[in-house]
Amino acid sequence: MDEVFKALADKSRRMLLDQLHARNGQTLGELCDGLDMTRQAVTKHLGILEAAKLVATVRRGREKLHYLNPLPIHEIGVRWIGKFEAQRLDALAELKRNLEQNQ
Amino acid sequence: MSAPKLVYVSQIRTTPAKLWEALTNPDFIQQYWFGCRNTSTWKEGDAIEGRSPDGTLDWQGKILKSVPESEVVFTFDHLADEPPSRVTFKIDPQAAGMVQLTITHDEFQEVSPIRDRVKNGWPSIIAGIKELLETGKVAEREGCGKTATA
Repeated sequence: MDEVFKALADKSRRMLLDQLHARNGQTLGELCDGLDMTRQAVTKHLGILEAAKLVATVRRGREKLHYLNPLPIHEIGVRWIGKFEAQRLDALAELKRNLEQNQ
Repeated sequence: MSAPKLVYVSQIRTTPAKLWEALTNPDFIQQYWFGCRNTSTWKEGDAIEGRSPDGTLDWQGKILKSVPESEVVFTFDHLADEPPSRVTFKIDPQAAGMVQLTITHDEFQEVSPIRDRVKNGWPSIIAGIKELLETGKVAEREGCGKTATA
């Protein structure tokens, strides 16, 4: 679990996860297009995310596609969020989203 | 271009034989699949069906490929107004007594309510498989119903 927290403790890597959350299955090139980072930096960050199993890769011909693997984050949630809390927390998050949107 | 697929990777302390058993035996499946039982001969060309605890047919499909302890591919028809999608379970032994389970769900429509539903279900199912194999039991989960998403 240390690896997951270390991987998440970086803004650029969270942005990469955001990109994949918005559109799953992107190539390195596509991920670079959307970010103000060098290709080298993106490669390095993806390596760290992959080692932490936050990103899974699938080969398609010569391309390597990157997918967000939500399981490590799910495990963090299961560890600290009780079975009956989940629904109420969802409702609170939804309320917060709505209120903040209406400002 | 086909619609984005879902890919889940989990490292489990087990053996390929035990993981195959957990994936194919309905007595195990119902412990982590929201109480549902999936039954099939798990042979290529044969049918597969998933039923809620009350016996209602929840989804059905056909086994497209089956290599025991290694890989199984089947179609996934959620009996909704949407063509069937495709699910792949892949088992890869790793070093030090670990086995990697990769679940891929693809061949969705461009706009797919089913994809949005199963997206909420898979993490819980896969966490349940890991828990079952590593601890021998699965903590109680919500039953089949509106949260039974995969």
